[in-house]
Amino acid sequence: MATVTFEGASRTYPHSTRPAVDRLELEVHDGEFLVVVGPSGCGKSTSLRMLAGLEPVTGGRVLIDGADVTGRRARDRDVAMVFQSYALYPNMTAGENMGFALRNVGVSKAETKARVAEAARILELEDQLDRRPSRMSGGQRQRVAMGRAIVRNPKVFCMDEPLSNLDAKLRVSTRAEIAGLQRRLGTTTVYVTHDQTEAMTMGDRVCVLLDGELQQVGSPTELYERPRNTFVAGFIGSPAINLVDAVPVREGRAVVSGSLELVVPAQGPGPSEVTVGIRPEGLEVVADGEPPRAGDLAARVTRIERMGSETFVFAEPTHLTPGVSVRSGHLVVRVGKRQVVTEGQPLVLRTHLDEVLLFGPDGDALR
Amino acid sequence: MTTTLAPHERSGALRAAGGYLGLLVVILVVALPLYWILAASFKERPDIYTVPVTWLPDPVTTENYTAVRTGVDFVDYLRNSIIITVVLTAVQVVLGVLSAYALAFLRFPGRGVVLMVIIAALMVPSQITMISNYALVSGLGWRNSFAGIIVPLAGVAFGTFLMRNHFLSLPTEVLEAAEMDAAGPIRTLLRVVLPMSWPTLIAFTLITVVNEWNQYLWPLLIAEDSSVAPLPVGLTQLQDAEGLTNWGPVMAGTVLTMVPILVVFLLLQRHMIKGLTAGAVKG
Repeated sequence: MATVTFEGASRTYPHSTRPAVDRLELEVHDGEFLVVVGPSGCGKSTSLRMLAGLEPVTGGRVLIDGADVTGRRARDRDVAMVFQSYALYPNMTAGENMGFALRNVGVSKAETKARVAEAARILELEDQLDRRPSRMSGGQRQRVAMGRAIVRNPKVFCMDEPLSNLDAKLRVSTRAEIAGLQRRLGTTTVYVTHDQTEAMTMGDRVCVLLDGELQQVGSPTELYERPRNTFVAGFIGSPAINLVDAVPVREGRAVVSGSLELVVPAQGPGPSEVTVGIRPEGLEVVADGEPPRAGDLAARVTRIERMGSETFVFAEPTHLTPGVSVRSGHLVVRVGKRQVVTEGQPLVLRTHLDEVLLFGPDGDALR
Repeated sequence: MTTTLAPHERSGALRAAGGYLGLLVVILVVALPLYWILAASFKERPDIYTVPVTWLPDPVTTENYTAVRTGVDFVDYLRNSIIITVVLTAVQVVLGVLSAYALAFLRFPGRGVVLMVIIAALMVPSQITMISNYALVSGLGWRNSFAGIIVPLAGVAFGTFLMRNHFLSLPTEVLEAAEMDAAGPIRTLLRVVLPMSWPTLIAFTLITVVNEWNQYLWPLLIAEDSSVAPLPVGLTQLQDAEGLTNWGPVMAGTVLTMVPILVVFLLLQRHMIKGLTAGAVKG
């Protein structure tokens, strides 16, 4: 049980001018499950490795339970790591893999055996303990890697994309198992992933990184509903949020089209142009014959993706204010499976005005 | 009925024929002398020199092998060879593995320079250092002693280089896992690194065994009698003792020299092929 604090922690690789992690300020609470998410090369794995002690910290500090561990070796930090490749010792059986760390710190044979057996029971690996990793399936290896971490009962778990080598179905079930296990053990966990679904479903809080810089930390709902900038808005949520760029602001109102105008909250002069963000479920298709209202957008269906339980309609708006452009070229609209939509069909889209997000020209949210 | 071959089939057949031709040349170059040694060791003295050549010894005789035993202190030479080879192999493997581990995994100032020096040492032929080594060994009073033969040969550059490169190819994450699991350097080496390195280590050991077994020039300089001289030097003694015309005992001695190393090779080569890293990481 411990807290983890990054205090302006930076990592600049040798022969590189730009830091891979740039003055990271982050506090992980005791017992919390924090998911660090971001695209490739955003510094999320580097941050985790700085916490684990596998990567030197070139600026700032890393604290575990209030103690500065910046200069401490990985083995002296009481942190366990689950690697993306699992990194099991191929010459040892599952049981030996799990007990190795305990034996290294001088835990007796009998106690090691008892703790390995307990971990195996939790992970349902009891009948696998005498097998080598090469004889195990991907899911079993993943469990052994988890077991290796939990037998040590460390202060912090570090997990580096532990599910990315599993197939899609196993990933979903293991996702729930890991989250459940963490809640049961109550061990502070930092979990790195590039998968925003894992971030949304597993974490108490989610931390979004881009180019080594912290973008936002918050609960999954907070990130989804109140993203701090267009990057977070675009990264969290699937399908991605619709972003409408270069919307001119006239007399304090962003004019998306003749009928869709949004109040821009601004102190002082305010921006002359904004980006408008609308989630796929923030738009709905207006039934034929319904009278038009303010906030309606005319569009034409270009593509339809049926997911079974729901359908995503890709539509190109037809009457936008000149100069306004939709990022990625089309708006994505989530519609119920019973709604009939055909390709090429003209549509009227109604916007849930209270769900619309506005971003300034620098990409930061306007509140 | 005639069969016409497609162009690629014809070229395939040609290539196969070329391959077999190459194989035949290699067999002639490598196997024929070996066979000749073996055959001659069982021939009577006049039969070795007959023209045309007799390919099978007729009559078969073991008198050459008896001559080896009686002509020189074969057992002494064999014992010396075993001592020199075992000690040198053990020392070189231990030094090679330890230095390779340090160069691959430990960070210390001057690591790059040390590696450069080792690679440079690989490029210096041993004959060049022989005179200065002889002066040194002689000055230490180590002539005609095992120490004099073994110590100057105990340096290892090739093994360090080979093992270091292999260690660098091991999955980094497994080593990091060992670090996280609080395994110290020696434990990491013995429990994690070496178990993933058996094929390379065995190859290195085998090369060292063969190399040290066949050491000739340096032991010839240092050893003065059968108390420390290894088999290759002993064979020279045999040749001197039997005169330049009696090749039978020399061939028999050569066969006897080859047999132990052949056994070692047959025992170890199986393990060289087995890959042991499977299952460490994905796949």
